[in-house]
Amino acid sequence: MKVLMKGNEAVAEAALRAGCRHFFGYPITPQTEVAAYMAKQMPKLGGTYLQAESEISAINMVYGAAAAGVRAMTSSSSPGISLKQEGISYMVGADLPALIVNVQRSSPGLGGIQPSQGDYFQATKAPGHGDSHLFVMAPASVQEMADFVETCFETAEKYRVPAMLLADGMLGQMMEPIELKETEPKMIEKPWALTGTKCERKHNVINSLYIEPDVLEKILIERYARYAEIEKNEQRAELYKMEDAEFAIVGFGASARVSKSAVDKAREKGIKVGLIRCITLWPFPKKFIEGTVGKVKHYLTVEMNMGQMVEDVKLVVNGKAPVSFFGRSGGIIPSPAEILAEIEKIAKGVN
Amino acid sequence: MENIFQKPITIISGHYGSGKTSLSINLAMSGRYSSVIDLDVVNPFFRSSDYRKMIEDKGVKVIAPYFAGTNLDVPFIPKDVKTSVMFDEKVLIDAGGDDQGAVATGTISNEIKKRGYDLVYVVNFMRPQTRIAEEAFDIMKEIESACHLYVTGIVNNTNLKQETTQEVIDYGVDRTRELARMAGLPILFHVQEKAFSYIIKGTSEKVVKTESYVLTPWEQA
Repeated sequence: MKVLMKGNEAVAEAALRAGCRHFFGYPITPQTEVAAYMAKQMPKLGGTYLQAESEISAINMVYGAAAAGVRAMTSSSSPGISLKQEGISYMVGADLPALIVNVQRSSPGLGGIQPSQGDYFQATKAPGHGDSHLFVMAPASVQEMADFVETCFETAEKYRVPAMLLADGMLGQMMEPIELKETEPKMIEKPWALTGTKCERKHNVINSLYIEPDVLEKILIERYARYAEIEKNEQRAELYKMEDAEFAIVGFGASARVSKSAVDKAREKGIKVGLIRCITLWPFPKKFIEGTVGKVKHYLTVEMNMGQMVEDVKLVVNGKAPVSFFGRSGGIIPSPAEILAEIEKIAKGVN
Repeated sequence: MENIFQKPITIISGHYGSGKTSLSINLAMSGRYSSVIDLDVVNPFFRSSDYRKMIEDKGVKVIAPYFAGTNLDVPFIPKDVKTSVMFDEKVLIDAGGDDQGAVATGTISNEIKKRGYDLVYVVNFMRPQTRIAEEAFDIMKEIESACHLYVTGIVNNTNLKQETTQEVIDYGVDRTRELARMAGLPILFHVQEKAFSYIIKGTSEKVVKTESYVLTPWEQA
């Protein structure tokens, strides 16, 4: 039987089912239920739940646990993620797989506590200082909040990169019936991990400090070869009513969910519009958008920010069709009616 | 909604995500209360005060923490809460989820006791931490000790939202009866959204039909 869960609880439960036994966090609205759920359930499984003294401590505890080869995670919301950025960059630099959950709220600064997608740039372009990327997934339902947790862990471990689940306050707080996985998590060998040599092998080193430029460059080139593999293999998107679409909305997460309602309403009015929902944000699902270029007359990117992903859409479309933007920010979620009005404007303009 | 609660103060408590707010809004909209107090200081989303205008239009006074609907993240109990509990004719209190949420109610428990109260425990057996009667019972006891008041009756709100089935309803009814026996408390009623028409088997317990006021953005027009 299904269970009625909040997005934040679903993340926590899915992580436990994925074999995560090390959670390090610090409370912040609107993600606190992740930590609260972990605090209640983790001890029953013999795992470690630890509320650190700050976000910075929490992420460095994740670094330590990941270095020891276990599945570790932390969760926070926008301002807290900024605090974690130094640790995230160190994890990238040390090739450590772990899960970082960002239940976004409106920013910058302390901002507000209502949902937002304002951390797109941060998640996909500069998760920390230096040349770096995270594997980033954007759920659009409570079911996906749960399902993507394991995908994030597995992908992170496969390529030795940290992963981020980029949600928002709406998805974190809302309740939906979901199916929880009963299968055993897939764990892979981590020969690089600090598990103790038992005097049987050479010791492993986890490090992000390389003083010699040629050594560091080599490491970066090797890491970027892995990034290229991720870009080749791990792009994910959902195409909704795109078969005959003359217009396309491009979105992710909660804004894509609202856009879907708008697409249905526009279709009722005879407007041939579809939705490209980006599921991985890095790698950006270029393949899926490229497949529609030439057929779509106009792309409309819908986001809960002042316009961020629209830049990536423009890069892919590359001038072959107009790309416009509609967004609400400050914690406001666009309504299906507003998006429909934008679609109608575009449809009229083209015809 | 009919008048089930006779005492001057009605308090809606429940485990986290049990459907307290939805029930509170329905009660507030019934026109039987002079004041509605939102003491849910735990959860900043989906709270009664978000529906302030709708309730106020019914001529009901709404008292909510000042940060409600604003961007402040600090729990704060407004000064007029105590006055309202002491003097308003019929008061509805939406307590927060779990024991942490009920702490705010605990700060005015003396005033509540003086007036006389019904304290409702809302339960949804489809929620992850209340799948069985024992779990729901434990949380109920935690709430009682946090708010310094005793639960006077149980309300069953077991559902899976749009995916509710008769099987879900049966499961909830059975667990609720188990809980009621365990706690020695009456089942006040079973909640059912107006759109649903499931059968509550083998019973003389009341079924109360509710409106669904809490919608996600994609369910709205």
